[in-house]
Amino acid sequence: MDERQLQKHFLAEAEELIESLLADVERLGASGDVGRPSPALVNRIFRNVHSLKGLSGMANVPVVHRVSHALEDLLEEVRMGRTRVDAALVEALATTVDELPAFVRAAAGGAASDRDAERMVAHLQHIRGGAPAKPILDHELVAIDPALLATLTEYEEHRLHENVRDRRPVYELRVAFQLAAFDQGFRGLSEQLAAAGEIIGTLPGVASDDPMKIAFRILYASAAPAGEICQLLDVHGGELEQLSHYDRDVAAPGAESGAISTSIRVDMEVFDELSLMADSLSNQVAGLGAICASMARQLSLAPREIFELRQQRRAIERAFADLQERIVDARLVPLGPTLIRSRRLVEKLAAQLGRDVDFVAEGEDVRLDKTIVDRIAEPLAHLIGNALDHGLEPPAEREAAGKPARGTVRLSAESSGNRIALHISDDGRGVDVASVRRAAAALGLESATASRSDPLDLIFAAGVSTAPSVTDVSGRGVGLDAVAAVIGELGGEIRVVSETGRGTTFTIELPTTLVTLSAFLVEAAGWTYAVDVNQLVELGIVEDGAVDPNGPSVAWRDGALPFFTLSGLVRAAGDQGHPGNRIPCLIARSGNSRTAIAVDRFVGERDVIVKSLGRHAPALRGVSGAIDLEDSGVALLVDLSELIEEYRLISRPPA
Amino acid sequence: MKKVLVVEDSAAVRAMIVSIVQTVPGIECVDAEDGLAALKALPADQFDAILTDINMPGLTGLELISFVRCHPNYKKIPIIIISTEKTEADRERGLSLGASDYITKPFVPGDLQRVIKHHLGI
Repeated sequence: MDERQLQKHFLAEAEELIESLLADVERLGASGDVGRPSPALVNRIFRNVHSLKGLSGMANVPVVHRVSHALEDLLEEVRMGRTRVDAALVEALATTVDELPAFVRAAAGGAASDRDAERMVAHLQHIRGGAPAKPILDHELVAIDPALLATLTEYEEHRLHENVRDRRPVYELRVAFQLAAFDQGFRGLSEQLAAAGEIIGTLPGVASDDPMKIAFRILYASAAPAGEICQLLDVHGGELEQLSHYDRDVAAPGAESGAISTSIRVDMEVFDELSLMADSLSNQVAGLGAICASMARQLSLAPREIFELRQQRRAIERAFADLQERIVDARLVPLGPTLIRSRRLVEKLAAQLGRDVDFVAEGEDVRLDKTIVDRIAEPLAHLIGNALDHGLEPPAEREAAGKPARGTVRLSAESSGNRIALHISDDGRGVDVASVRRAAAALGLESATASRSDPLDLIFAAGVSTAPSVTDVSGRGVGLDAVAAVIGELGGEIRVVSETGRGTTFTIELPTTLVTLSAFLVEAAGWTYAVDVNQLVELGIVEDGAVDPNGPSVAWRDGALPFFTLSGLVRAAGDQGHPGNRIPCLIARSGNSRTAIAVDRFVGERDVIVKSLGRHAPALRGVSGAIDLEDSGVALLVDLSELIEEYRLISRPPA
Repeated sequence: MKKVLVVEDSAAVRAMIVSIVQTVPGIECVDAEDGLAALKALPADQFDAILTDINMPGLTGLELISFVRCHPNYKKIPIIIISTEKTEADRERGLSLGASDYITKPFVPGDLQRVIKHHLGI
């Protein structure tokens, strides 16, 4: 393309764009509600300005590029909802766009001045406003397939948020057209849809039932009655599904009515049974839904009937999800009574040991599973005993060290999502790291645990104690390992930080419930397995070459980790080969060390309900339960550290 | 002869890109005015690469990329995003949907030719 031809192209298209801009900016000013312009109108103005910018950049007309760039910046702000449309903004747009025809013609002839461009840019930049924080899509309100969400541009995502904010129903339409003439069909439907609402995004794909058809998944927001939208589908067929459920943001009733007179005692086992029943029912409903969907196709029901069938099924599914949530919630009890018991314990021990202590308790409203509250009572008492006995110095010793005679022991709890953290801290003498090392070395532990990041973690090893004397309150080295074991069984983790002369803090992290488990599903040798995410440190992909078969170990980050394959650990028959040379690995926590466990494929994280294998299965070490999958399959829940332990026992060479 | 599908909604920019790419000996272009037109063009020819804009009416570049990457017949075709400095976030989304590369507008002809030659292996 030569220079003259290029310029002709440029002018022809630029004039067309500007003509459409002039009309649209006029529409923007004339619309009754200036503050809330039609998104389609704003987007068309943006797109035309964007095209003008691209065009002038490619045709090398820098002055037009500069002005259209400033226009685009401003319109991007408007389009994304970051700048409000008001009279001043419409005025600035109109003034600039009115000048464009003459300016572009002059520029194409090389006669436009830089000063004109600067003036227009300055005028536009003057208008721009501030940027509010980007909202996060609430998946409780709108259940959108992540695959669909991933194909939205930033702007489309913004439009989705705006529609959700305005509580406009959001739908997914599925419609398929014959390959030969799909574009007319699609464009026709798009026009009809746009007239009654807003098309947010469109994802094309091959129709699953007919390779000669092209299928579209359309993300659509509309306040029109669902029946009307269904009618639009009557011509081509297709399905409509409502993704938004705005009634859900109404709080569940009864959460705060904790009056004693209205409560009854219920055996915890009843809750377990209820949870399992609700879980199994909701899986059966999912199965029924799949049958309904295929029957609807075979009977060629009208879109309206399919829509209603699906809505009904979704409503039942949501009801079960709510039911499960309520059952789980009913098992949760506040930590208040535990804190009161802890206070009594502190007072008793302080008198017994001759300590002067302030006990500070925080987080009585933090709620967690009754079973967990019961099981952590003993470990907590143990840590409090340690804090008073080994942590806090006698008043005289404290004064000699320049500290207030009265020490402080603090027990605090905080929740974040479905985990809670408990902190037990004292302002006593701190743990003497050197004597921990000596004690560990005496037991021959030091070398075995040299890889540990923090020598202080040695105090969780069996038999290690730094207590100078044995007292009635805390014994010698029997304890912290037991504490760590209980926390581990509950899917939790314990850490310690200490500073000599300043005090010690133990932090315990726990899941809030044992009923639903956050499980990570993987496939190995053709089977699906579930692992408690609390046992995982991270997920990794290792190169085949990083595996040393002699260890076996694998290079990971700066060190080497013991390496196993999951199918080897469960001794499952089947294909153990990995496709390609990149191996998906679970990096698992066992005690305080880490292990890499190879699997065939990561499936993803789910909240699941664990079923006991009960009498139906022999006691399998390393298998802690079963999980029903939605496709009516079953996954075994495996305990990785137990599996590894068992594997080592069996594969140990005879002495 | 290698075939390249050029998807861009601005007719002038599309014509420019086509003329730049076709300057490379052994390359022939087919052009499409938006994502939908690209869907129509795909089965009609055997393409060796796709050059696509992102912000287009009807069907965006991201939706096109997702379609191509999921389609058994087309999933291996290299896709190069024509991006602008304003659309970095969308470009990243495109790359994570499986686009092979990108070039930022405005570019000099040599850059576009290099990128396309690299992906065509010529």
